[in-house]
Amino acid sequence: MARKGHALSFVPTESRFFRRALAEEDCGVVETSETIVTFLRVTEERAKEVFCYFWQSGAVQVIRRGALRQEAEKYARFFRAQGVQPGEVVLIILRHSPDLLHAFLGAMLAGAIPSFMPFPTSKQEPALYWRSHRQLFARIGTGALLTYESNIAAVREHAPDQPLHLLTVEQALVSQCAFVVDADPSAEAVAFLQHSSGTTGLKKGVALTHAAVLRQVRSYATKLQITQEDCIVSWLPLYHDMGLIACFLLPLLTGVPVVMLDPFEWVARPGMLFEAIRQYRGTLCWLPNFAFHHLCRTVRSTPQLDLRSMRAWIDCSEPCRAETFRIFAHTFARAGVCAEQLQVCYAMAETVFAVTQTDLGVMPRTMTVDAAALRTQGAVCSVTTGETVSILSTGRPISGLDIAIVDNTGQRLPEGRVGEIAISGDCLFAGYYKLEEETRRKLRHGWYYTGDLGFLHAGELFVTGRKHDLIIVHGRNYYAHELEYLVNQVPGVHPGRNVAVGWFRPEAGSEEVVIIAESGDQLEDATLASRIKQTVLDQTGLLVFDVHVAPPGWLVKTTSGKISRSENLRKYQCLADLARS
Amino acid sequence: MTSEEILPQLTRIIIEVAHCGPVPINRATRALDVRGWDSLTHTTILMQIEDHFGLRLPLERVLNLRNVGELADLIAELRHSA
Repeated sequence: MARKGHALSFVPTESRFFRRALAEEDCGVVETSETIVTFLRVTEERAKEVFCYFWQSGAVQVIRRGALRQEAEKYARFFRAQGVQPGEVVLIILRHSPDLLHAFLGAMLAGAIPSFMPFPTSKQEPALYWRSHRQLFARIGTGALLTYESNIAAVREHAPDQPLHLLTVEQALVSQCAFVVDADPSAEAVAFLQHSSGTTGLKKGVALTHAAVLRQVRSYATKLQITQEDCIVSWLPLYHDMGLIACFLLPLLTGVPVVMLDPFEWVARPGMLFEAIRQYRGTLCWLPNFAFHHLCRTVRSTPQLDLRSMRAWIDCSEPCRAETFRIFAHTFARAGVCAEQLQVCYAMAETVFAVTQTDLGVMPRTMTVDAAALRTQGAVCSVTTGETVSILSTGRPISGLDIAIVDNTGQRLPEGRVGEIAISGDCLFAGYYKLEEETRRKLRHGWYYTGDLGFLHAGELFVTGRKHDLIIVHGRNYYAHELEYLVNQVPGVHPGRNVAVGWFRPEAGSEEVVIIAESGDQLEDATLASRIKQTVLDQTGLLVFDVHVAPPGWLVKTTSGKISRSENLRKYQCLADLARS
Repeated sequence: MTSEEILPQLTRIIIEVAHCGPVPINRATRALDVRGWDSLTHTTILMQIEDHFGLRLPLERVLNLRNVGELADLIAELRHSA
């Protein structure tokens, strides 16, 4: 469907920027040798184009494409002068700042493999934060860690004996190296790693090649009908795939501008997102489901609020709810939000980003099905006399990706049957960095087995749950068993007697983590609960919603002797309901 | 109004917004000690404070608060300078 008013400027198979980039390279076909680095080379005319409006502390820094390239080159020269070799990993642990963009692209220009990691919050204890990275640093091996001078002593003390070069932004900014760097990586070389899932030490680095990233962005931009009139507005952190791909690399490669806000500032002042949209005539915005609720709760709909420029609000990264859309459209109707703008994307780092996307301009489909048939038989029945459940479509696969729904033996299931979602196509990841066994387990014969459950209906994917113990809190992924491992280390917890569960709270529009731990000590419950919360926060950045300290023997086990997550969640919910009444 | 006078009003807002039930809140209480007080709930608490006390909390100050006592002190300071 052609967009109204943009039909002439839009080329259905490739965005204008891609077409123009090809013309500059003077070739008539898509060059397979293209990499992300190719797109950093800009003509004098394009050097003046704005890439990003970087909002922070009430000020806006305008980053133009030419300057972006220059600053990235400075970092590239610095990395090479410091001994970083092509193919080595550069971990970037910095606060939200333009240095993030420069260092990331600079590492790529130097032929290295950058990866963003979350910066510790002021509430995290530095000793524990750095200690929790030891395992990851050891796995990365020779490579570099870029952070601030003020962190170096803590890294040396708490993560000693690791082979990473410790580099600082302060050194980089004064560095005057004359190194000429213009790495020419191959399209099949790994461009960067995404460490977006799991706790720090056990995080897997999803390795993505230049070719996979370019194919994803090209296909996704086509699906979104991106044109030069678009403007992306984002508060998302860059260590997360939604921030990194949709709101950094997609604008970089398609040539549309992006307004970047500071995630911490946005959480405290959510209205700044709407202000940015109004000022820059924003058209596209990606949000995890919880963020829709956060905006409804905290931003007052005033006559000054103007969101009419928006084409789509894309719900992604955690289960999307029809109810969320209803509340959001209702709350901000006066500002110009309508149901047709509210869209869904199913995405993951292992496919670079989007797997499916609903059609822009059309309300996504909701299916109401029999709850019991869905849960017990994995069957999708729209005729029912009992309890029903409404599921929002995530749309069709983007071009270049295929979806299969498979049973436990890997056999394909027909439409309307629930099974594991498997994906194949031309933008799959190359593997988990230095984790061959894990890669073999998840990536088999060209198919990536997601661990998510869902069904296909009329070609559209509906996601219904997860096979594993993944808990998604505000768009970030945590594995229950990894959290339980951390809780086990807390003095005062009865060893092996704790459980982490995901508890969906409709008012937050997201799951929250609840930990139930049996006390093995004479400690006061509140002290033990605070200790557990602090430990999890320090090592993962996650603020646990509630820690319930229970007496020995409280936790329910399955018949096979394992602590049951579902049964204990039910028991906890009963207690919570009782306390409320 | 002093920090001590602000504290009970602040406690009422926190308990109401976090839905945490009656819990003891004093100057040393951190968000971590209260069930359900995460960064999102924090924003709602700050909004309620602004409405209740009729003031605007500066972003750079609220991002660095460590406990309820410091929040009460900030409110007292802003009210005093208003």
